[in-house]
Amino acid sequence: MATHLIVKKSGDDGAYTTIAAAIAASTSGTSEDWSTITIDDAETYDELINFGALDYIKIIAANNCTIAPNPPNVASPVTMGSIAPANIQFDVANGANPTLAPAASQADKLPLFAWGNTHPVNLLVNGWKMAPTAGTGWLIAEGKAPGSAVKFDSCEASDGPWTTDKILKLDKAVSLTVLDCNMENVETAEVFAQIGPETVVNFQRSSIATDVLLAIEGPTAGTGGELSVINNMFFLRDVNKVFLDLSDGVNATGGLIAHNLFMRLGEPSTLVTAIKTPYNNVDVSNNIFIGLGTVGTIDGAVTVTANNNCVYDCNAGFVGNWAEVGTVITDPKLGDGGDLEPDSPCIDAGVDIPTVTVDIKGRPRPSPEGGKWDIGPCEFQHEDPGPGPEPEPGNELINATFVREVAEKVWLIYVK
Amino acid sequence: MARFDNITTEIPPEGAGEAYGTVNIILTAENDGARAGRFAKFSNGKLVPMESADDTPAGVVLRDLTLPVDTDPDDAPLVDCLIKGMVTVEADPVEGLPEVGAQLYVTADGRVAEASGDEGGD
Repeated sequence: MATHLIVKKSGDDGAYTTIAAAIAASTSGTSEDWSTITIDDAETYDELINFGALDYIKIIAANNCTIAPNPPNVASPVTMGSIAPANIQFDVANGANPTLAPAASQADKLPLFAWGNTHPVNLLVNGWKMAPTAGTGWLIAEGKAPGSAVKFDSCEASDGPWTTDKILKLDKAVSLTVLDCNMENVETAEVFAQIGPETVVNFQRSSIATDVLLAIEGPTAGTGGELSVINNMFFLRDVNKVFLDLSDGVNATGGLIAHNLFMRLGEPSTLVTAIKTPYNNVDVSNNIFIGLGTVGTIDGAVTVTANNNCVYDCNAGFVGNWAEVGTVITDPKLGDGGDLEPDSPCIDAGVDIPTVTVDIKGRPRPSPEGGKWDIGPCEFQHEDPGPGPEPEPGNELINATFVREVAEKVWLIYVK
Repeated sequence: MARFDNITTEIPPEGAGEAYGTVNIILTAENDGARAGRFAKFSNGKLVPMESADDTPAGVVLRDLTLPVDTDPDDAPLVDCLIKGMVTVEADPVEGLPEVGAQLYVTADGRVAEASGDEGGD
């Protein structure tokens, strides 16, 4: 039977004063009735979270609390799946903005969320900010157990000490979902996510700064991977790497790379390549590429679709056997926050992708409704024409006839 | 033609709200803001301005030349309202003039117009 416990440092109303105490008193929930631990104050909790054998358990921040284990708690702040498979959620309520802010000094690439090689974890983190306050080598999550499913929704990574080589290590995960996340402050990561060849990847409406978005590694080429990379902003560095290399991945069910911005901040790069694919079932459409070495390359004798992309200030465009249609080779004219300026050539210049109905900011796409899709992550919002001028009120026929005009705007009439 | 010319030449270019002819039907009613020279409607037994073209017009309010000069005609406690007959009325011309004998329309504010007003509304 699920438990529903409250944590307050004050202990008011019978609340538990520590998260660990609440976990110790909790039982596993079920898929229909999760156990919950609600943190109902804005205090800082200096403790490690270990769910042990608990399953279907959710931590809810109902206030702007902080979980900040300090030395000597030199370990991952959150541990799960160490004994048994686990379904774990970190969620928010009441519009809270909680933070996971460990402050241990680490040189061993310690993950904020950790699980092992054996028991899969189904982890959802919604609305939390990851902000290590001290130490080096932090990564956000590491779990090698096959079958794990990981989802980050509306999360943010601070500009803390992210000096690790990878931010997510999920070698054999079945899925990785990143929605509405801001990871652009993680500038030092060489790889954002290491995944397996069969991992289903879904990145949408997020901002990420890294050298390599996905490192797909596995003993054999994947057979079931699938890729959706839509409405994101990627900020690339001037390195001789491929930002999104699909080798050994997405070779069975295809992928869609659409409405993204691949941008080199600062001087244009001559080194970095945005996309490399050996597969012909990947659709690269409606993206903007700025200041890159090469936009896209093909690994092998395949033809890959590239519809209506914007390429600006790049050393080379789509190199190889791309089926390239509608490429716009001019300044996309991006304004504040990546929005398209009113005179942007990307407005209404995209190919129709009916499955993409919002832009990176959640605004409707296309705009106006029934119009054309724009190129890039932001949809230019055409002004609502409104209901139009108030129509003249209709006049009513009356039983009177015109005789003649006797003065300006004065008529002689006969009323019957 | 001569008949119409005869009538019109007898009418000086005066303002709206003048009744002409000898077969008119005119009611005197309490006034509650109805404006001379426009169609008005009845409300609670008083003549009040039209509020919508959908309102049923009672008739055209006539000018009262006997009012003191410092009295607003709209505030006259009693007014004459032409129910049937020949009268001048404020018009809302669009372009040109209707043909003689053309059916007329009333606007939401009690003027007459040659058209329904729906054209080009969308």
